[in-house]
Amino acid sequence: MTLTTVSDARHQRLAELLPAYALGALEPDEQAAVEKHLAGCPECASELAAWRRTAEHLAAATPPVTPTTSARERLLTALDNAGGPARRTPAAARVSAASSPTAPPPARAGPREGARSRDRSAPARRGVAAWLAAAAAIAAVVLASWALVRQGALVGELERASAERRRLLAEQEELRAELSRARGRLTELAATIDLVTSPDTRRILLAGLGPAEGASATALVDPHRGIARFTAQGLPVPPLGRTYQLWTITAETGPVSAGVFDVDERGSGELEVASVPPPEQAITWAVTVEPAGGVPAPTGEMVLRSQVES
Amino acid sequence: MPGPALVPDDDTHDRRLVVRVAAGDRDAFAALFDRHSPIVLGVLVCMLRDRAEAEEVLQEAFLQAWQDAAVYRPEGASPRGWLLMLARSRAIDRLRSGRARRLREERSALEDGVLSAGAEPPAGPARVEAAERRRTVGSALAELPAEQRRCIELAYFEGLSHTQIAARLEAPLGTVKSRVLLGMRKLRAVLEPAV
Repeated sequence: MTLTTVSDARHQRLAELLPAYALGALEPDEQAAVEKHLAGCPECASELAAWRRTAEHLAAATPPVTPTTSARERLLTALDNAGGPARRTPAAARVSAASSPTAPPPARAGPREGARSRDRSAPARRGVAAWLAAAAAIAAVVLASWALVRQGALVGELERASAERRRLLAEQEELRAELSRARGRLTELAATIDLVTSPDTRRILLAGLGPAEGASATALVDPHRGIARFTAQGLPVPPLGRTYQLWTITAETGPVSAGVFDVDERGSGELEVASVPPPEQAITWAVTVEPAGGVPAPTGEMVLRSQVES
Repeated sequence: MPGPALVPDDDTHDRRLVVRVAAGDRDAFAALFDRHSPIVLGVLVCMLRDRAEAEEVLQEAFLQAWQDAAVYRPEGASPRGWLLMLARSRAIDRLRSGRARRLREERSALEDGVLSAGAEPPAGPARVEAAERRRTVGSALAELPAEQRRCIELAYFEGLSHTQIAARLEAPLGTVKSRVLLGMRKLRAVLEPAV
């Protein structure tokens, strides 16, 4: 009972795949399942014939195209080399005749040989049918091994394609990161250009002190938005575990951190200052050497200090 | 044996031709080719969008027919249906291998021109017959809901699998499967009415 139900459900499921099978639209696994089922289900086999007739009608929806005469000639010539139905070797014929239940007894061998010259006697036709079957079996084996070889080639092609895909994806990721960096840089440059070209921008110059005597720095301050862009050049690379910290100092607040920055091998560094005290107050700008990460109030040696405002 | 002249029942005539081909009759093979190669090639050109590649597949399919005529089972399909199956499954193999698919996409400039791909009509009575069949299936297709029709066209004329159709239409796989099934049921009811 249960068995019947299970196989009924399976039959039902596979029967619903028959139209797509007739169209050739199934994936390989479903196609194999349908073919396995068809071998033992005459009902589905006859259903499939009807679906194939339906699919066959579709061919008429597209306009026919007559092959060129030369294509026709090529095909008819190719029949000679194709090992077609009428081109079995006598050896193959004997093998298949021996294994065929309908094979005539050896005494009838004479007429069977005659089949090659279009003898139409019944035993000869059975002989022909037997070797056709043998040849078909051979053709099936040849086709199957050809399919295997081809499948191997396709697997190789697929692997190469997915390696190429992975490489391209990685490359795309890199390019995307690069693009994002370039965009960030562009935004910065645009902001700098705004600052430099705005008539209200104030330029504060800082001069190097002590061991950093050769250094200099500029702070471009946008008084309306209370932001600044700070750039320094010629600073020595700080000792390990140390960083530079920028301060704005007013009489009211004392030194207030404007952020920390590092320098490259040429001693250049830069910093966006998000909050600058209002312009009414006299501000001194200074840079000190501090422990990495910065400190709340200056503790280290001062290396840059603002001089004049221009 | 019947002669090569037209007989009233084309299908019976075709079946006799296949039997003769199985016995190595080249004239019967040539007759079968002349009768059915235009419709097979039409479908192949539509699928592959390349005349030269379509002719190559046509050649392979008919060679296979020559070799397999002895194992042709008349209860499985008409000779024409059998030839179309041989040709379409080869075209589908090529399309699923990727290369031909890419070439096809490049050539497929006119997405909606599938059913009117460039072709010259065959001569004589075959033209009338082909035009008649084309009208019949055209109106059967036109009766389908557009999305069912699209799925069936993509499967038959572009050689796409369920999964590929789903990807192309950005529709769920289950939806595509039902559209194919329902559309085919309707087509069958119209084109193959139960006797």
